Order: sequence, then C-alpha cells, then structure tokens
Amino acid sequence: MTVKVLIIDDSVMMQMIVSEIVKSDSALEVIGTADNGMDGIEKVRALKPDVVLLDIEMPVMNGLDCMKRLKLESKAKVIILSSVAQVGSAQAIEARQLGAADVIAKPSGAVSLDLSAKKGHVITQAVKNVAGV
Amino acid sequence: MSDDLIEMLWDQFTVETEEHLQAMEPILVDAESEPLGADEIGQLFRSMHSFKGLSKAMNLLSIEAIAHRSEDLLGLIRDEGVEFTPERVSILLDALDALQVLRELAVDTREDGEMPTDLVKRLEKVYNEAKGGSSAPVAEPIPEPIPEPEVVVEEAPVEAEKSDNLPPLHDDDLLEFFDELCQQYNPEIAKLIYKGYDASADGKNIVDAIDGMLQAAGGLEFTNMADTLTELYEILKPDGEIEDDQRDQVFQLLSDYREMLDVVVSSSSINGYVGAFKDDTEKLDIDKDLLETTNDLESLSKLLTGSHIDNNVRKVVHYCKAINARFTIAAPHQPLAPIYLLEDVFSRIQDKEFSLHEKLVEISVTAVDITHKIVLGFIDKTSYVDIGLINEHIETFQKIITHELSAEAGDDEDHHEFLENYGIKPHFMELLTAVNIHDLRKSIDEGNDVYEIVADLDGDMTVTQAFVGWMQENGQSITSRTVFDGDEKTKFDFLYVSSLSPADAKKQIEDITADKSLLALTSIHDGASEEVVAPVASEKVEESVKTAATEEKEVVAPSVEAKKPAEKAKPSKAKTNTTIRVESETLDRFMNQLGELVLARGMLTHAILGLDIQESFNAVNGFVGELDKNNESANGQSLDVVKKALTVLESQQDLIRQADLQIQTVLERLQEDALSLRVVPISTVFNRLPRVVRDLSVAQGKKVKLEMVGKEVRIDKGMVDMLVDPMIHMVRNSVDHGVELPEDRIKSNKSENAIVTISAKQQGDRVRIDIIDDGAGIDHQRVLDKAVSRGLLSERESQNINAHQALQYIFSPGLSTAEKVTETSGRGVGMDVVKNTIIQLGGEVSVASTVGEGSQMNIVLPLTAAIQTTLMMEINNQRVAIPDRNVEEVFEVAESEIQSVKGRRAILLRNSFLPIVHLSDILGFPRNQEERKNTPIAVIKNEEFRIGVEVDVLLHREELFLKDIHPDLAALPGVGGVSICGDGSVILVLDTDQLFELAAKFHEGDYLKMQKSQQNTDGLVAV
Repeated sequence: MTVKVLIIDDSVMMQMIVSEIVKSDSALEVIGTADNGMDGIEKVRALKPDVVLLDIEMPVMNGLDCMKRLKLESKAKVIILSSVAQVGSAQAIEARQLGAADVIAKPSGAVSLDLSAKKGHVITQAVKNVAGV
Repeated sequence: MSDDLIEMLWDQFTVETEEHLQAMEPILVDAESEPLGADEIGQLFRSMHSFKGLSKAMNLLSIEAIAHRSEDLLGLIRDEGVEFTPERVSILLDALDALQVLRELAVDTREDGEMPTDLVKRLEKVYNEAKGGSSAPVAEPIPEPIPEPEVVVEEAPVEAEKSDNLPPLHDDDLLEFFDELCQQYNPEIAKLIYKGYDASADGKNIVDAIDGMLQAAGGLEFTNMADTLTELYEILKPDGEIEDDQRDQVFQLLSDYREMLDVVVSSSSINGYVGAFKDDTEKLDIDKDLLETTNDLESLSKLLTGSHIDNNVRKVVHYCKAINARFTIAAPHQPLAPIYLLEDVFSRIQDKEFSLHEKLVEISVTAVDITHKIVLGFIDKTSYVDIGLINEHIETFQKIITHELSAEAGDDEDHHEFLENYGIKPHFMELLTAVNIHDLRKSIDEGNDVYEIVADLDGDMTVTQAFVGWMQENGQSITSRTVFDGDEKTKFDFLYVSSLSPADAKKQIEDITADKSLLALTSIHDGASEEVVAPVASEKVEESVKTAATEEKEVVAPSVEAKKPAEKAKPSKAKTNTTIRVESETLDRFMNQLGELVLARGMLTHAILGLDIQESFNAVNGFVGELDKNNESANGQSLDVVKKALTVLESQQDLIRQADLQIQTVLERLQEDALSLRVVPISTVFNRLPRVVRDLSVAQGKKVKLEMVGKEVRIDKGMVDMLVDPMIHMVRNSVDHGVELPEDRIKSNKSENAIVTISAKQQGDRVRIDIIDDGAGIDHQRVLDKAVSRGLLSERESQNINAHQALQYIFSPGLSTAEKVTETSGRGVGMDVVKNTIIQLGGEVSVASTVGEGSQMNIVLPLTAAIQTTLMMEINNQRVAIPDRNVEEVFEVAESEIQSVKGRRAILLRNSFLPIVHLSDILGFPRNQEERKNTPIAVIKNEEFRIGVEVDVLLHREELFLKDIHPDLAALPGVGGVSICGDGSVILVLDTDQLFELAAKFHEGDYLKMQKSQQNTDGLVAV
C-alpha cells in the first residue's frame, strides 16, 4: 500500500515540483493536486488522501482556513509546506495548534539542484513519518 | 530531474510570474490615488509571496531578494495596519519594474540577473521605517546562500503543542463549514430512523456519514457528540446492519445526537440540518404507533378467540377504534378496511342490531390476521399483502353482515322500493349494499334529510380535511362514488344523511370550502331533487380545477419525497470554481482540429448526400426499371440482386443521413463550447493600461484619472496579445495629445483632473471598446491639411470631405499632428499600425472628436476570430464569401431599375440612392456574360459607408472556419481570408473595408464620394 498524497498549492509550478519529489519515492503516490483551500477540501472529500501537503498563502481559501475545515472532514494528516511557515513563525505555531503533523519549508533551487537527492528527501521523509511508514 | 520537466517548469514559471505581475500592477497603480481594500492588499501580498517562492524554486536569487523584501513590506501593511503611503507605493512600483526586467532576463536566458543591491537596500530602509525605525535587518543578508540545514523537519511531537490547552479555535466560518457537513451527512444519518431502510444499499453511506460527522464533531471538540457518534459507529460498522436487539439503542443514540445538534443550532446561527431528522423523528413515533397497533391487534385476536367474547364486545369496539386511530396517524392514506368493518359489526352487536355467533367470530379473527399482515408490511416495507385476499375477505365479511342484517331487519326488497320512491338516484341505488340500505332507511325513518354532495377533494388538503370532518360530525355518508368530469378530474359524489336542514347544510359547507372544492349539494326528498347550491360558474370551475391540479402536484411531490429523505436533502455541493490551466498552444491545436472536423463533416455530407449520388441512384433506378418494364431480363435473377442491392444502399444512405444530422448537432455544441474556451475577460488587456497612464501623466505633469468600464466583457483569447499594443498606443495618445496640462485645463474652465474612460461592451457578436478623453480634442482641419501636405489626397478632394471623414486620416501612415515629438508619441508611426492590427483582428476602428471637449476612439471587434458567419455568393463561377456582419440586406433588382447618377450605377432604395458596383469588376474578375433578368445585390456596410454589390448568384449563409491565409493570397486585394468548403473547394472570404477601397479605386481619378450610412437621405451618390 502506497501512501496517497494530495498537494494543495496555488502555483502549478510548485505542484509540479512537489509532485516530482513525492513521486521519486516509490512508497508514495500523488493522487491529485488542488489550486486553493476550497478546491483542496473538495479533492480531499473525493480522493481521500492519507497525507495532504498544504501551502499557506493561497487565494480563495488560505491554508490555515483549509486546515480547520479539513480537520472536520478527514483523517488525513496535514503537512504544511510553505515558506511562510518558517520554523517557529507565528503561522507555523498556529498550524501546529490546528493539528498540522509537520511544518516544512518549500523546496528551493529546484532546477539547479537535484531535488530528489538533496532537498526532496525532507519532504518525502516527512510524508512517510506522518503516514507511519 | 529530467530536462523535460525542467522545460515544463520554466514554461510554468513564465506563465505564473506573468500572471502575478499583471495582477499586481493595476492594484499598485490604483494605490497611488485611492486607499486599497483588504482584498487588494491581500492579493498584492500573495502575488509577491508567490513570486518569491517561484523564483526561489528556480534559484533566481536576485528576483527572490526583491520579492522577499517587497513581501515583507506588504506583510506589514496587510497584518500590522501600516499605512500604504505614496512613498511605499512608489518603491513597490520600482520593485515591480525591476522584477519585470529580471524576470524577462531569466525567461530568455535562464540566468539570474545581477543583484540590484540599491533597490534591495532602499526596500529594506522603507521596511525598517515602516516597522518603526528599527535597524534590524529585514531578511537574511544578501546574497542569500541556500543553507542546507535551513529546511528542518520539525521533530517536536504534535501532542506537546496540542496539550497547550489553547481554547478551541471556533469561528463562524468554521461553524458554517460544520453546517455544510451537517447538510451533507445528516440526511444520510437520518435514514437510520427507518426501521425498514435497506442496509445493503444505504448501509455503507450511513456509516460513512456517521464517520464524517464524527470527524467534524471531533474537530470542533464537541466531545459528547463525538462520543455518541462513536457509539453509533461502533454498532453500525462496517456496513450499517443493525441487529434487532440493538435497535432501541440506535434510536436512543440518534435522538441524543439530535438533541446535541439542537444545542449547537440554538447557540449559533447555523441550521445544522436538524430538519433531516425532524420529519423522521415523527416517523420514529409512528413506528411506536405501529408497534402498539400490532400489540393491540394481538390483544384483539386473543379477545376474539377467548371464551368471554360475549362479555367483551365493548372492548373489541374500543380496540378497533384505537387501532384505526393509531394507524391513521401512521398511514393517513391507507385505511384498514377490515378493522373498519370489524368495528362496524361489533358496534351493531353492541347496539343489539344482531347477535354474535361463531361464524362471525371466525371471520373477525381472519380480519384481524389480515390487518396484522397489512400493518407488518407497512412497518418493514418488504412484505406486501395480497390486495385480492383483502378484498375477498371484505366481501365475505360484508355478505355475512348483510345476511345478519336482512335476517334481523326483514325484507330487503321492501326497502329498495321505498328508497327508489324516495328519490335516491339509480347510480346510488346500484351501489347500495344491504348495510347501506339498512342504514339509509333507518336514518330517513328517524327524520333526517338526504343529500347528494358532489365535491372535489383533490385540491387543498385543509379544505378536504375540514369537509370530511364536517361530514363525520353532522351526519353519515351512506355511500360514495367517484365521478369524472371532462377535465380528467376525479370528484366524489356522496350520498349523505344529516339532521341539518338543507339551508344550514348549504351554508356550513360554503363556509368550509370557500367556493373551492364543493361543486353542488342536492337535497333529495320524497321523490324530488332540489339543487341547493348552484354549481359554480363553469369558467370558475375550470379555474378551480386547474388550481386544484397544480396544488395537487405541489402537495403530492413533497409527500413522495418525504419517504426518501436522502433525495429530499441531497447535499448541495458547495460551488467552487475549479479551473485547469491549458496551454494556449494546446487550445489552438484543439480549435484547429475542431475546425478540420467541421470541414471533414462538410465533405462527408457532400459526398454522401450530394446531388451526384442522388442522381446516380436515380439513374440506376431508372435503368433497372427500364429493364424490368421491357422484360429484358434474360437474367432475371441478377436483376433482383441489383434491386436488392439498391434497397440496401438506399436504406444505408438513410442511416448515414441520420448519423450525419447527429454529428452536426454534436459538432455545433462542441463548437460553441470550444469558442467559450477561447474567451477571456478583457480585463487582461485593460489591466495593462493604468500603469501606462500613470507613468505618462507623471512624466508630463498631467493629472489624469483613468476609469475603466466593462472589464468583465469577454474576448477571444487570441486577440488579447494583439490588442494590447494598439490599446496602449491609443491610451498614450489620449494622454499625450488629448489631455492638457492642469493649468491649461483650468484656463479652459475644466477640472484640472482629466478623465480618460475606457469602456468595453458586448453588442451581439461584437465587442465595442471606447477610449474617451475630455482633453483638447483633435482639430480635423489640421489633420486634413497634414493629409494634403503628405499627398494622401488632393486639395480638391479635401474640400468635399466632412469633419468626421477628415479625422479618420489620423489612421493613415505617416500622419502625426503633434507639434513636438515626444518620447512616447508624435513620431507619426502608430495609428496606422493600430488600424492594421484591428483590421487583422476582423475589427474596425474610428475616431470622433470635438475641439475643446475631447476625443473618442472606437474599436469594434468580432467576439471570436476563427469562425465567422458569411454570406456565400458566386461570381464568374467562383464562390466567394462576405462576412455576414457586414451584409445589411440582400435583394434582386431588375436591370431597368438601375439608374445612372453622375455616370455611376445606383438604385433608389427607400428614397435614397445606393451606389452599386459589380463584385467581378472591383476584384478584377472577368464578367460573366450570361444574360439575366434580375441582378442579385448584397448591401454591404461598414461604420462609414454602404454600397450595393452586384453578384452573379446569391447562395446562402454559412459558418466558415477561417484558415491562416497564405501571404501570397493575403496580398490579393479585397481578400481577407480563405476557408475550405464542404466539397473541399477553396472559398475566398472578402474583406469589406478593402472592398470599399477597391470600389473607390475602380472609378479611378474620381475619389470615392459615398453617402454615409447614417445619412441615407442625402441623395447625392457617386461611385
């Protein structure tokens, strides 16, 4: 059984990068992407992921509002993946209070660095940790 | 990471950063003149934030540094209430410019630009001042390394932070969301209340719904509710099956859950969809009623079979009444006929009308058994009672009673005769049972009146109930029948006895029914009938019947639905705009292929259904017929084969024709949808303009307010890119040439703030864009002088030209009226390019102006570029098409009606001369020399002119998919595009504006003097 991951980020480019990273680990599977919190909730409802990788700053519905709702809706573990949520920031703490299983920074230098080898493992490892794999 | 992916990432980076730049620019420009709303600041922040993230991902650190610091500043403004001062706006605009430049560089070269240290420092300074003079560095020092351990997986256990005992985060939004979940799940959960719900079909959904609400309640820390739901979940999992002995527990938990929901609802503004349970909780009580009914029936059965039945007659009647009452609550429309009869029999026994004996007891027990079955069937909705059995039973029952009654009460026929003589109509007489006759006779003997009441009881339920109530209270319905009137409406015809006088009865019924359901009351007495209530006027009846019919629908519908709560309250899906991005290239390819498909279908239609094939069929048919007739079939067998083959072919052709029609329908829909894919809001273009206006007005020291109307109007995506430059150019022109300096404006008694308005609106299948300024206006004489001095027209021609026509020369090459050449305009290139571009888009552009008051540029564009409706016509055996929007009307005229006005051909059309010209002439085609009585003419027009175009044949309107035109073809005068017709032939699509020019040139030397389309009565015409 692979871990089913949903990626919620308003940037398609970020969706692509994060998907690529997640897909690099054979234990993980990207079952979908969503463009904002509202869309994300719909997708969670439909796709029933195990883990949600969630951005914070998004139009329509931001990540924290989305989390509050997800908590009412799904047992999926939520990992905040956002550069806003730097370790120890107010938003990171709020996200934790809302029950985020983890808070990690977005990947950087995607093109020049080999993501799946260097930065990527941070994300894949976090996903596997919270999914208990 | 594969190269492909990196390519895709760069593409995506290009698209997304462009979007963010475009989103930010107009907001920032606005911010200079008016305070921004929270939404707009939020948008700025998010876009800048995304810009930062995107560039960071691509390792573009210079961009990231600017975006990062801009985001920090915007963060202060968004979250800390820091004022958005002009200085702050200004530096963010600078940042935007820098981002734009660096982004372009990155997109082109995939290299990071040089770190703009100055700008970054200035941003930091502004940020620090905004923060309150703190000198602490804003962000990480530049250049920013990518510190490997920066990304740390927080290992801190989640529980630790959760135990902080922070108050649960309740807010209205969250409750609202809870409400949505209630709406989604509660109707599902409410299904449980039905004892008979189908676990195999609904069970899984119910369990899921409980799980969903459990999650929701847990999330909101409604602990009790969560506990209750957990218990429910434990009982029901995995598939919703409930053991009989768990049923009570489930009901208890459900009702607890409902109470908890009530608490939430009463302490907040949400609905909670408790209603899903409400109706059904009453059903719960009904279940109890039904349960008690069965208990009563069991007791009744025991009574009847017991040894003391003689002493328990009263009890039996009591039970029957109770059972009937209970069951009526549970199932208002399903009378328990056997029990009614039982009650009747035992009431009569009680009244000593006849006595109890064994046979009667036996049949009573059967009646109870059958009733039991009916009730049980009603409870679990699975077993059905054989209606035939019930009826048979009732018949037997009635026979026995009849027998008893006639045995007790004497001669049956005697009564019959009496009633007939009394005036009871035959249609009732034949219905009357012995019991009825007995009752009726008795009632008459007691001095009661007899009525026939015809009533429409299908209408308003309350009226019906009141009426039935009145009947029960004031007398006895002996029998009834249903009658149909012409309106397919069922009415009830009652034979009724009452102690009321006819007048009282009439009045009371009128009070109840308010003219609505009661149609007539007839008093029957001693062989005479007397109408008491006149039938309502027939028109009114009809109306009331109609009303009743509609009401019936309204009444019936919910009652049907009430049985299926799941359908009744299906969660209405929260409407969200899910979008996907599609590359415009993909879209174009899609459109192209769709176009090909349209063409291919046309060819198919032509090939299969064309005249050729029909003629071939006819020929073969004729040939075969001929052979047949002449009996030339030396080979009769093969002739039959041919005939058979022909039939098959013809029937296949029919099939193909049908399929073709279907394909056409689908294609049309597909085309419509595809076209809507191509349209985007014109704001994509408009949003580029505020910055242009702002920069230029600042540079020139002018005060300009830009107003934009109709941003939501949609245009073809393909036009957006082409439209941006012309729009920018025209807006620049307005500010540069049109708008005066503030001091000059004050001198001319104008407000020092100039207003430039850009508006878009859709007019049919066209979009009209106006660019209006209240500046100095354009002096048409100067335009004309310039045009003459450039040799665009002769001195003499210039005298015959009106102001409006003169103004249009600003679109000619090499014409600029600006007295000094400025940075942005005045070089005399531009307006002609603008015009060409608009024409390429299939549009038109014109200008109007009043000196001293301002100018107005007007662009009209087709909504979609690719598919156009055209009028097909033929000249010299060649088919050509003219865009239908340019065709005003078509008609034929006799050659004799064509007159000569100043040597030009023209016709008198509605009191106005219309110049006409032959299409072959102006396109340089040889004339078709065939003699014709009438000449077909198409009147074509543009903004300015209208002329009549003679053709050889006018064909029909057709939707043409315009193909990219080959440059050589494009150079042909008058040709605007090509399309390929169904039969594969090439169609030239003509350009109307060029046609006017050609028409003018056709009469060389004499410049076009055509009437303006607005001034049809001018009369003076020349082509």
